[in-house]
Amino acid sequence: MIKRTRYLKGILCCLYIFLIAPLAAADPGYLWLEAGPQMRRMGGGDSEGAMQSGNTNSGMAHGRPVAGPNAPPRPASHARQVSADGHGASDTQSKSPPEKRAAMSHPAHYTLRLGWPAAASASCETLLTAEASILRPDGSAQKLIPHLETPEAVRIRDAALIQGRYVISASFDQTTGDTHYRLFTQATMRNTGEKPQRHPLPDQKDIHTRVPRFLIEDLSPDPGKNFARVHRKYTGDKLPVRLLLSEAPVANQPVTLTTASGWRQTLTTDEKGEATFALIKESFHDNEINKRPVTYFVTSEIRRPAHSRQGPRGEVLRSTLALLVYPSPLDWESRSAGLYALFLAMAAIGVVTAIRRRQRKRPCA
Amino acid sequence: MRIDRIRLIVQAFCFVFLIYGGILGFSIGNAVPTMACIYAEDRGGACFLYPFQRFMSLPLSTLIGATILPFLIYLGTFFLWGLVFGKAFCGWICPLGFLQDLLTRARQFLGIDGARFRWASRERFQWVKYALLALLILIPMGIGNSLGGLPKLSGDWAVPFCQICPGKPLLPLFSGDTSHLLIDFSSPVKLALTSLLMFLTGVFLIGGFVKRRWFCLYCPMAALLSLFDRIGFVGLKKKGEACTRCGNCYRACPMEIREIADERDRKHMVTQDCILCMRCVEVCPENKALSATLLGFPVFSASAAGFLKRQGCAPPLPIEDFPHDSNSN
Ligand code: SF4
Ligand code: SF4
Repeated sequence: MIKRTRYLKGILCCLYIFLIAPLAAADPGYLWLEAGPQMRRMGGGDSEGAMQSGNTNSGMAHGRPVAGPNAPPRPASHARQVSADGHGASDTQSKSPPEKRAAMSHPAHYTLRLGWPAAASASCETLLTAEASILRPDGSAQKLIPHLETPEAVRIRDAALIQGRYVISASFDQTTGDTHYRLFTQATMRNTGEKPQRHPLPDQKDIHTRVPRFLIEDLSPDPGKNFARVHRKYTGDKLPVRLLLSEAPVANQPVTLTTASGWRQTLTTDEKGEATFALIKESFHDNEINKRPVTYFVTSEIRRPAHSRQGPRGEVLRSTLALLVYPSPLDWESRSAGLYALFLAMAAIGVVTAIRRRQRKRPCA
Repeated sequence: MRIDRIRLIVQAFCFVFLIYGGILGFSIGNAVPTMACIYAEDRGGACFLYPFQRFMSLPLSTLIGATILPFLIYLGTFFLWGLVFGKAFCGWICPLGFLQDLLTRARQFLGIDGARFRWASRERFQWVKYALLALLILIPMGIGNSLGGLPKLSGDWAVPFCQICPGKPLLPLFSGDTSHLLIDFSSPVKLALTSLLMFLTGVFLIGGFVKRRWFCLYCPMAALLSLFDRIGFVGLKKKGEACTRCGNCYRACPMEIREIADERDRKHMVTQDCILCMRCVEVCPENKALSATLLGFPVFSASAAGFLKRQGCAPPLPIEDFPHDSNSN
């Protein structure tokens, strides 16, 4: 049965790649931010207590990070990056000033991707024109410049030096035929580093504001300060989201959750522009426990006629929230077994101690 | 006030700071050489061992290459802490030590007799803390490197000591987090480590109720802090000629260190198990036989007068003040 499903999936993929994708090539799909390899190594925006690091590039806002645990040095060929503004290569390994890095923090490191959730997607050079910005926990914001980090990956990065929650947004415009596509995405990450007040607010005048911004906001409550298990989403969790268009909530708007394997659920936002999904478990573990996270997508689309008479006649606003979802640890952890084991150990040692004491106290015959 | 009481107050303060300090935004960093568990959500400072094991799990080329600076800063911070406070961390600051002292007080309150270590078994298990220290270096190294051509260990072995340290399930409990009291069935390694953790936590709680500070004898942090026994700012010195080997200090010592009473020729008395609690200085009845020192200068010394005062007796009078027998003239 499982084999048959796999074959079916394969056939559908081929159909998509060879027939549907070329036909639909004109439509850029959705834009989203995927946790970069450095974040994935550390659990996708969740530090797992790991310390930080890595390499460097033109997109970062704080200079060169010092590589840290779990971040092996990149091959020399990757040290030279093509910067977004076309200024060619920049040998950041040798020229950037060393970055001050809190040992337990990690960078905001994201790959920009364009395509269809749970189907084909790419991170191509066209995304170098995307706009991206970061809002830091101290209230400072800064523009991030996408750069080609590897031949297949356009990425953005911020050193994320201070403690707290970071909001990373990106947008991309494309006109195809009569339609103008405006794609937006937003991601959040938490970090432990230094206390925010130590850093002066940077100059914020270069932050882009592309109107209208159509965003899906993750309203999950703050998980606290424990960086050993911060900000992870698990299957079974609730995901409250809010749709904002030019910072105003969008009511009665369909919003869709798509899991990594393509399962979909569509809800309609209430009058506050909010909807709450349950992050369903995609599949159970096969032979081995799989603790790896997969990407879930929340998407929404608004189609409307264009404002101006010139240019394209229609406008499509699309927004994506891509998030890493971990399999629920309840699949393999048992608290009751833990408590039983603890009490059993205590009882056993207590009884042994009591018996030994009694034997010692017994008067000699 | 008795030094025991002062110590309890300081320990309580440090406990509150280390477990809840983060609520007010206080933090003394993550390189503190004491068992202030990093899993406690509102912590005001965290144990050195967690990041240390994380660093050790890096490939060697990365550790001595790209991460050498953060690693050295980490080690340097630990070194400074150790140099200034040394084993005083164990006696005055450690939250797990404080929990053991509370268990001992609870036992005393209930009027239950405590147990002492047999000298032979104590000697026999001295190596355990050094073995644990070696393992918490070698196992993480085996994750990022292939040691001796062996295959790399799986990520399930990450932070191995934290995975079996009773502080992990116990200290987060004080901020209402019960999520570390569990058995993990995801792999044989996880199953073994979490079962061992639950067992050791049980032993910690019952053992702490039966024996004073038993866990400290096996603590790898104590093994690390032993590096500062001689060079640390805080010390414990003995004046052999004043000592009468009465054994008061040994009987009062929570770590049951025999050498403190036995050895008269030794000057520096901070032994590998000493927690610098200064109880021995307090109970010693001989003038200046034992002294607590700071940077080599005595700050608290044993004295006959102090001893008698603490016993509730009048201090001894100088010879010339003794009342004379009126008939003697
Ligand atoms: S209490 Fe003082 S005199 Fe007695 S054995 Fe200890 S150091 Fe010596
Ligand atoms: S030797 Fe003295 S200072 Fe050290 S643990 Fe024993 S009583 Fe405390």
